[in-house]
Amino acid sequence: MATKPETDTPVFETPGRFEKLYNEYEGTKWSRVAIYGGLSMYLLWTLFPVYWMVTGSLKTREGLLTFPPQWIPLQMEISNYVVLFTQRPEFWRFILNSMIVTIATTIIATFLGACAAYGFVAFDWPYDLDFHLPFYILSTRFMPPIVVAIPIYVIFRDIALVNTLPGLILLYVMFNVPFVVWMMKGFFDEIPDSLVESAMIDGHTHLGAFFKIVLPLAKPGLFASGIFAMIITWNELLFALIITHSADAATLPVGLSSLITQYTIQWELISVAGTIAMIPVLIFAFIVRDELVRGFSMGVDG
Amino acid sequence: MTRDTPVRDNSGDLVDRRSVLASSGATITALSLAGCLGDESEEGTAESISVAAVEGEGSWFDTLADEYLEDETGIEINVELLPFDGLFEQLVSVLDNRGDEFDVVFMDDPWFPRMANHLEPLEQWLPDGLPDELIQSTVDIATWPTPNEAVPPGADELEQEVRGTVAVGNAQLFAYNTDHFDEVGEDPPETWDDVLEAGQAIDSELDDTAGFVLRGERGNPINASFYAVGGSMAGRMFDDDWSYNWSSTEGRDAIDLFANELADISPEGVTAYDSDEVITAIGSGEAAQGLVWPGAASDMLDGTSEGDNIEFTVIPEGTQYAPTQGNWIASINTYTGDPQKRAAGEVLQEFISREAQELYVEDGGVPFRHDIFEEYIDHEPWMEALYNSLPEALPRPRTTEWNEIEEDHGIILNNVLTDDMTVDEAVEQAEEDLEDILDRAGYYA
Amino acid sequence: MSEGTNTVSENPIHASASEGSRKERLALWADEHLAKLLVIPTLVLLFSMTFYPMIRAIEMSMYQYTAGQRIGFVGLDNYVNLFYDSTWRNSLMVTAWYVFLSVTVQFVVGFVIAVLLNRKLKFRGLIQTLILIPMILAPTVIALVWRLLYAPGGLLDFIFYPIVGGNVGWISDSSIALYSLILTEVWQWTPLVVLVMLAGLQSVPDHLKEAAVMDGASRLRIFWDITLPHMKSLIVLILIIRVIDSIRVFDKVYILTRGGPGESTNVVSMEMYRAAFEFTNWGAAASMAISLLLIVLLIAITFVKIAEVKF
Repeated sequence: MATKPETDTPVFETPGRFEKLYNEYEGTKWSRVAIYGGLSMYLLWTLFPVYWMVTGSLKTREGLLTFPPQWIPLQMEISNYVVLFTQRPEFWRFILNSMIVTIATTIIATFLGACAAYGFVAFDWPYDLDFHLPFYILSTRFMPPIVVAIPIYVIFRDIALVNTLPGLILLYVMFNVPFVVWMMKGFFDEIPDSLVESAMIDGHTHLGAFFKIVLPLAKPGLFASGIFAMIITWNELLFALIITHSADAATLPVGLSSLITQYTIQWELISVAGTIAMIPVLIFAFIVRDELVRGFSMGVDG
Repeated sequence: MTRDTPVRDNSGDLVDRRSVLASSGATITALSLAGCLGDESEEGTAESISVAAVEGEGSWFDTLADEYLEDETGIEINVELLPFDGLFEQLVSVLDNRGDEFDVVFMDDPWFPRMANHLEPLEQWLPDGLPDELIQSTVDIATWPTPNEAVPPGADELEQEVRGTVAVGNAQLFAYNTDHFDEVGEDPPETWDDVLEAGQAIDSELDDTAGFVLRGERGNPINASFYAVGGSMAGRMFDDDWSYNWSSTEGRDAIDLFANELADISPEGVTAYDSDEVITAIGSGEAAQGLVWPGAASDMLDGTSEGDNIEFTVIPEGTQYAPTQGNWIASINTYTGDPQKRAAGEVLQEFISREAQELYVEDGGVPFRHDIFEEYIDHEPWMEALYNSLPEALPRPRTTEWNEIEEDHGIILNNVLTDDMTVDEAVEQAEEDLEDILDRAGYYA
Repeated sequence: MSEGTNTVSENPIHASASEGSRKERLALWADEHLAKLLVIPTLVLLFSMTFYPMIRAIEMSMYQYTAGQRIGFVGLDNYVNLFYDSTWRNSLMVTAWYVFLSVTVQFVVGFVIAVLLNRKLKFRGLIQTLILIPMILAPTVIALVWRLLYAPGGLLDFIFYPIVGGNVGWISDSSIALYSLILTEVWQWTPLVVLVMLAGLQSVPDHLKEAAVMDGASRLRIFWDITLPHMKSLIVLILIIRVIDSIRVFDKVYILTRGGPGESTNVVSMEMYRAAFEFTNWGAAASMAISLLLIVLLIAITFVKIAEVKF
C-alpha cells in the first residue's frame, strides 16, 4: 500500500537541518518535563502488568492473591520454575514445538507472501487479477476463524496432518500469508523498475534480479512482516487446540491453557510459563527493532 | 513513489488468459486430492492405545497408567491431557467426524447423551464384565438410554446398554468452616435454611468473612453451582415430558434463595467468580461455606491456611435430598479398530479392578467402588461425605442439548444475581428459552 | 512499479540463452513463467485453506444441526433467525461499542506517545522494544494477568480504594465490565499504534518541514498541513487493522467474563464460540460467521472509500 504522499521527493535518512531547528525551538524546560513525564507514565502503565506477571512467577499462590498486594515478591520462589518443568516435563517439548513451528512459519510465510506480492506488482494480469486477487487474499484475513475450524479439521484429517508439526505450519502459513502479501506489495511498489531493468541488462535473469536486488531492498518490510507473522504464530491458540492433541505437536499456548484446570488456575505456574514464553520474541524484537520501525513506515532503505 | 503511473510489463511477460485458467484447473485438482487411510487388520489386540482425558482429574488416570496399568496389561497407554473446554472441542471434532485419533475418551457426564451414539457398548469388550462393587448410580449414568430418567426422543426405543465406565466418582459436596460456625454458635448445616441462617450470622458478626460463596460467573459456572440448590428445593429441572419444572413456587424460591439471599452474604464481585475464586475464598477463610466438587476439595486443602477447619458434608436438603452427580466417564470410541477396542477393554477392566483402585485413591483419585470407599473412608476429609452422596446422586438432565440449556439458564441466573432481572422474570424467560431450545431439537414433536 | 520510463521487457540474455545449458534453460523457463510461479503457491494455499472452508461454511449455514449432526436443509432460515435474535443483535452492539471505544482510545494515546517519542531521546530504542511486550505476550497470559489485577480486593481495587472507598467490581459489575475489557485491549494494542505512527512520523521528508519552517509556519500548521496528510494512508491502515482485529476479540472476554455479567460483555465471537463449540450448532454458528464477514468487509471497503486510499 502506498504510504508516501503524492510526491517524488526522496526521503532523507540522516537527520536534516530541520531537526536542529525543531530542537532549538522546542528545547524549553517545560516541554521537556511534559515529554519525559508523559513517556514515563506510559511506560509505567505498559510495563506494570508485565512486572506483575514476572514477579508473580516468584511468588507462592497465596502471595499472588493476598491483600494488600505484595509489591515485591517476599520469598523469591525460584522453585516455581523447577516445579513447572518437573511437574510438567512436556513443557520442554511445547517450547521446542513452538519454536519449530514459529521459525518455519515465519520463513515460509514471509517468502511465499513476498513472492506473491512481487508477482502482482511486477506483472500485468488479465481480467484485472493483479488488483482483484490481492484484495481476495487480504479479505481472507477478515474471516472469523472459528467456523472454518471444522472444515479445516476434516481436510487435515483426510490428509493425515492432524497433530503434526507440518500441519500446524501449513495452517499458520495460510494465516500469515495474506498480511505479508498486503504489506510487501506496498514495498515493491516503491522499488523503481529501473533497478530491476539494469540488473537484467547486467545479465541477471528476472528471477535472479528478484532475489539479488529486490528482496534485499525490501529487507525492512521482510522484517516487519516477519515479526508480525512470528508474534501471531507464537501466540495462536484456537487452531492449535483443535489440530493438536498431544505433546507431539502441541505448542506453548496449548500448554499454557492446560494450567487452567477444571477447578483451579495455577497462577504461579502460569506466570512462569508466561514469562518464559515472552523472552524469545522479546529478544528477537530487540535485535531487529530498527528494521522494525522502518518496516512499518514502508520506507525503502538506500 | 507514486503508483499513479504504474507501467507494467506489457510485452513478453504478460500472463495470458489460457494459462490462468489452466492454473485454476490445477488448483482445483490439487484441492480434490485427499489421502486415504489404509484399512488395518481387525484381528488381535493392539499394542498401544491413546486416551483423551481432562487436565486435572484425568491426571490420576495418567499416573495410574504409568505406575500400574501398563505393566499389568502389557499395553502402552498414551494419555493426552486436555483442558476442560479443549477436551470437549476435541471430542466433538473427532467423534462427530468419525475420527479414530482416540481409542478411549473421557467425558464429563452431562456430555454423555451428546456423545452416546459415538461410544461403543462397553460390556462386550470387558473380558470379565463389570464388577459388582461399582456404585449403581455411576453405572446408570454411563448407560444409554439412562434408566429412570427422561431421555431424548428416539433414544427411548434403544436397548439400554452400558457405554462407558465411571472414571472419577464425583458428586457435589458442601464445605463449611467449623471455626466460623463455632464462633457464631451454629450447628453444621443440614438444610438450606440452616445454611442461610448460619451464613447471615457469620456475615454480620464476623469481620472480613462472607457468610457464603458461590460461583456466579455467567453460563456454566453459576448453573453448576445453582443446580444442587434447585434440585434439592424444587426437584428435577425437567419433568418426563421435558417441560421446565423450576417455574414452580419451589423453583422460584430456590432461585431467590441462591441469587438473592445467598448472594447477599457472598463476597463482593461473585458475579464474576468461578471455581478458582470459590476455593480460594473458602480455603483462605474469606468465606464460611459453599459448594465444591471432590476434585476441587483436594486443591482447596493444599497449602491453604484454613485447611484444618474445613469440613465436608452432603448437600443440604430443601424439600428433598438431591445431590448432583458430576462423574467423569471413560468410553471406547466406536470408530476405532477392533484391536484397539480389545486393548482398550483390557485396560479399562484393569482400571476398575480393586487393586488398581487402591493405588488410584492413594494417588489422590476419586473412587467409585463400594469396597474402596469402605476401605478408604478416612483417607480424605471429604471421602465420607462423598460416599453418602454418590449412591443417591442424580444426573443432570439426560439431553443432547444440555450445553445450550446450561449456558442459557446460567445467563438468566447471572442476570438475577446482578439484579438485572427479577426472579419471576427469570423463570418466565427460562421457561420460554429452554423449551424453545428443546422444541428446535424436536423434543416435543 | 514506479518509474514511468522503465518497463521490464525481454532481456537480450533470454534470446541468446536458447542453446545454453540445462540450467540456463531452466532459468529461462522460470523467467517466462515467473508471474505464475511467484503467485500460484500462495493462491493454491489460500484457496484450499480459506476458500474451500469458506464455501463449506456457507453451505453449513444453510442447514440445521442437532448434536453436531446435520438434520435438514433450511435455506436462509438461520440468517432470518439471526436477524430476529435479540442476543445476537445485542452482541453486535456490544462489539461495536467495544471496537469503537478501544480503537479510538488506542489511536489517540498511541498517536500522542508516537509524537512524544519522535525526537532524539536517550534509550529510545529500548523504550520502543519495551513497549512491544504487551503485543507479544500470549493472549491467554494477558487475560489471566488482568484477571488477577481485576480480582475483587486485587491490586487495582487496592490502588483505587482511597478514591472509591470500596471494591470497584471491575469485571463483576455489569456497568463496568465492558470498560475493563476495553482497558485491557487498549493496554495490549496501543503499542502497535505507537510503532506504526512513529514510523509514519519518521517517514515525513525533512525538507518539506524545513521549507515550511522557512516560510514561518507554526508547528501546529506543519503538523496539520504536512505531517498528517503525509500519514493519511498509514493512519487508515492502522485503523483498519485495529478495527478488524478487535472485532474478533475472544480470548480476553472468554477468560475475564465469558460475556457477562448479564449480557454486558457478550461480544460476537463469544456468541459464535458458544454456538459452535459449546452447542455444536454449526448452522447457526456459520451464519453468524458469514454475517460477520460481510459486516467486516463492508467496514473495510467503507474506510478505504472514505479515505480515498489506494491499496
